[in-house]
Amino acid sequence: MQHDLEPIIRVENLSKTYEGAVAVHALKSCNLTIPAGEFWAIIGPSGSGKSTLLHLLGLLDTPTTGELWIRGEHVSSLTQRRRNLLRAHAIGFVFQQFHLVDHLTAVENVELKLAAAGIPRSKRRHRAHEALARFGLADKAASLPSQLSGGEQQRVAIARAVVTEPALVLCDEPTGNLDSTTTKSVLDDLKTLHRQGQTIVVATHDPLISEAAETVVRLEDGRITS
Amino acid sequence: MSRFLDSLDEAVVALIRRPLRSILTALGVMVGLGLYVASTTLAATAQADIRATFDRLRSRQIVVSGNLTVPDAETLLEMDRRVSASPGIEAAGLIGTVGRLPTGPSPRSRESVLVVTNGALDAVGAKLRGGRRFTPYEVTSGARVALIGSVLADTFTVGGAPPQHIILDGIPFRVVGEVDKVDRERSILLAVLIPPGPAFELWGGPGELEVVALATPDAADADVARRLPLVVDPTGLDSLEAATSPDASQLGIDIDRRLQELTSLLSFALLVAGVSVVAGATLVSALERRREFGIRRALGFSRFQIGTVVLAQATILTWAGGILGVSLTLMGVSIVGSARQWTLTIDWNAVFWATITALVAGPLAGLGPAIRAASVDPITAIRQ
Repeated sequence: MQHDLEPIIRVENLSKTYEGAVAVHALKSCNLTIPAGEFWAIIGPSGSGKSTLLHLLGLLDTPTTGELWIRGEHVSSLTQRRRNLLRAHAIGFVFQQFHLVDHLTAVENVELKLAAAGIPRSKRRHRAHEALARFGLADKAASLPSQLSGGEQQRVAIARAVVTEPALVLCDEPTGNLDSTTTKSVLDDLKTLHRQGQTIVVATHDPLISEAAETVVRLEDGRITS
Repeated sequence: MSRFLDSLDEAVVALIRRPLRSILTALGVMVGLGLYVASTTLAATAQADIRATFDRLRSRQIVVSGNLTVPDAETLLEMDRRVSASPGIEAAGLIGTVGRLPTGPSPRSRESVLVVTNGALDAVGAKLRGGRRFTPYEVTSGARVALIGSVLADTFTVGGAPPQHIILDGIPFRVVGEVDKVDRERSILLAVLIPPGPAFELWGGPGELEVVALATPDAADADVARRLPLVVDPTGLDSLEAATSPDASQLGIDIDRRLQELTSLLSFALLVAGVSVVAGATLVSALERRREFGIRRALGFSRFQIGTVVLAQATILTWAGGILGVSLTLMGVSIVGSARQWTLTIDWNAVFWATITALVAGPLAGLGPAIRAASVDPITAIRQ
């Protein structure tokens, strides 16, 4: 696999503390450099900080301390508008719970990401259909999430995440709610995306996925241990 | 523009996909604004009706009384003609009391016997149930004829025909008619009315005499009242007094103002209720859709984009509900008004303000929920 020279993600001393009656140090001084086009797995027990790290990399949350660069852009110095645009264009997110909007059809769910990225309305429907077709869901475009199986819902979520062809795809336990057959199918989809040059970072407990990854990072108590 | 159309599109889709909620919310606005228009229209109709009634009731009656005496029937009738022909007078005549004579079946009952001219009957708005008024001959000749008030007549004959004759001071009088209703001077209904001729011939004329006049609708009552004693008796000005009855039109204005205040308060309450329904429903919808807004934020939607979707949703519902509510209510009140033959007065001012309120209230009602939706934290929302 040919990788770009510039890392897609660079993390220096990234920490996240949730304030409360008792402060929770979810992430402690993490340092990472993820080259573009790689397939990484972040593993670790529950509560080790995998999701927190993913949320920070996906710009859904802000770090307590430390610095983060995505595609060379220093995230802390970005305006909110630029962060939104970066999230819409450069980052795709796949969640364990799929997180499809339940009153929208499969194709409308995929279109959401295109709308967020400011793609003209005239092009959205066609591109959304193409993305669904890529994952074998052409005939499910008009179905509501409640009419789809778990595997189909997750593939719609993946189609939504990648429809804008983001450089980085972040997956938080993408197979956590799926049976083994569907897990393999979703893994195949992720591998395909990786082969097409997208950077995949997956937080997972699933050994099948971690075995498929090029690099595996272990988190324990908010620290990268290996 | 594209972002705006996106928000509009998103709002429409969300409303269509939740039809029951959308209909119920719009219904709240429809009912609120509809009731507002209905109440203002009905109030305006009632006010117009009350105004017309009070205009009708406006006191136009003028009574000239005092030391008014006449020597004979001719002088009385000449005075009657003079006041009737006076400017600003619609009808006028004389009423005098002959006395209280024992009449009827009970020896203890004593009813008034009044001398009246036909002009006086006009001035008090007398309506006859049967028979006729005095002829010109009967007025001047001393013919023994009488009219009888309906209340008095009923005491003579329960459920039967009025008496053909009535005995006054032992002299029979032929009853030629029965006065059923009067607008003023209700004592006439309890009296026997005779023309001036026999009153002078038999009893030397009436004791107390007064002029009863009805001013024309456009005449100033006070001016007519000032002028009338001069017309009645130019030589006895000091002893005559003209009085107008208390004017009911001020009472009409007071009632009108109070009704308007009450309607305004009621209408305002209905408007607040309608807008509150939208604000409440939009807020509930925004709270229910927290997870969705979190997902949208995670996908890259800005807070502004999410806020405008919620705002557009509230605006569409309020505008649709408002316009439907106002137009359906106008149609409804028109149909009911026409069926009940009301002279409907539509308060276009209220219709205008109801429409403006709907236009302004939509965005206002959606503002709070929109801010709330826009401030959803994506992580908290997607963890739900």
